[in-house]
Amino acid sequence: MEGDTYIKLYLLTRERVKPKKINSLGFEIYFERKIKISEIIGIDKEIIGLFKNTEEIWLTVVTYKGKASDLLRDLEVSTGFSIWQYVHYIAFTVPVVTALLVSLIVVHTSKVSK
Amino acid sequence: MNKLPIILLLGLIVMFEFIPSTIVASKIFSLPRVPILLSVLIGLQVAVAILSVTSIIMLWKDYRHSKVFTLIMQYLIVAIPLIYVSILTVGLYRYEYMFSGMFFLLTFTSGIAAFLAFINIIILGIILGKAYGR
Repeated sequence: MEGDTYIKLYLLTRERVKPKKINSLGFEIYFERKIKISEIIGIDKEIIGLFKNTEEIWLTVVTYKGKASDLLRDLEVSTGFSIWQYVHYIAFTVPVVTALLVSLIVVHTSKVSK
Repeated sequence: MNKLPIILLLGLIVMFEFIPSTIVASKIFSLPRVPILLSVLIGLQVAVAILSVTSIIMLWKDYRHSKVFTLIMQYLIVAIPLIYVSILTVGLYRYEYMFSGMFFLLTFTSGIAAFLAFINIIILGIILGKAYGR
C-alpha cells in the first residue's frame, strides 16, 4: 500500500495497556484514562459483556501517523504492569532524589564552621 | 565581602527554578504520554532548586566550602537553559502544541535564573579570588 495514513484506535481493556509493543510499530498512546462501565453504557451490549464483574476499565486512544507501507505486521497489544508506564516519573525523580542525597552529604560533611 | 547579595540572588533563583517547574510537573503528570527528556529537565530544575536551598543554608551558617559549592551550583544553573535551547535548535524535541507553552515557560524562567546565577558567579569569583590572593 502506498501513501500516508492516519489511524486512530479506541481500546477498552481491563488493565492498563503496555506502551512498548504499541510504540514498536510506530503507534503512540494519545490518551488513556480509567473510566467507569456506566460511562460507556450506551455502546454495544456485547462489548460491555466482556467486562463482567468489573467496575472500571481503561480507555486508551492509540494513533498512527505515517506511511502505510511501514505497517508490515499486526498491532499486538498486551496489558498489565510495565516499567514504561512510569518511566517519566522515574526520569523526574532521579535528579530530585540525587539532589537531596548530595545536599545531605554536603551539609553533613561540611557542618564544621570555619 | 557581604554574602547577603549572593543569598538574595539564590533566593530568586529558587523561585524562578522551583515555581514554574512544579507547576509544569503537576500539569504534565496528568497527561498520558510525557516526553522523557522533558521529565528529566523538570527534575533537573527541581534538583537545582533543592541544591540552591542547600547553598543558602550553607552560606548562612558559614559552613566549610560553602562558596565553592555555591559556585559549582551556579554553573549548573547556567547550563539548564543552554540545554533547553540546544535541544530546540538541534531538533531533538518534536514541536507539539501541548508542550510548546511549557517548554517556552521553562526556557524563559530558567534563562532568568541563569542570568542571576551569572551575576553570582562574578560576585563569588571576586570573593574567592580575594581569598586566594591573601
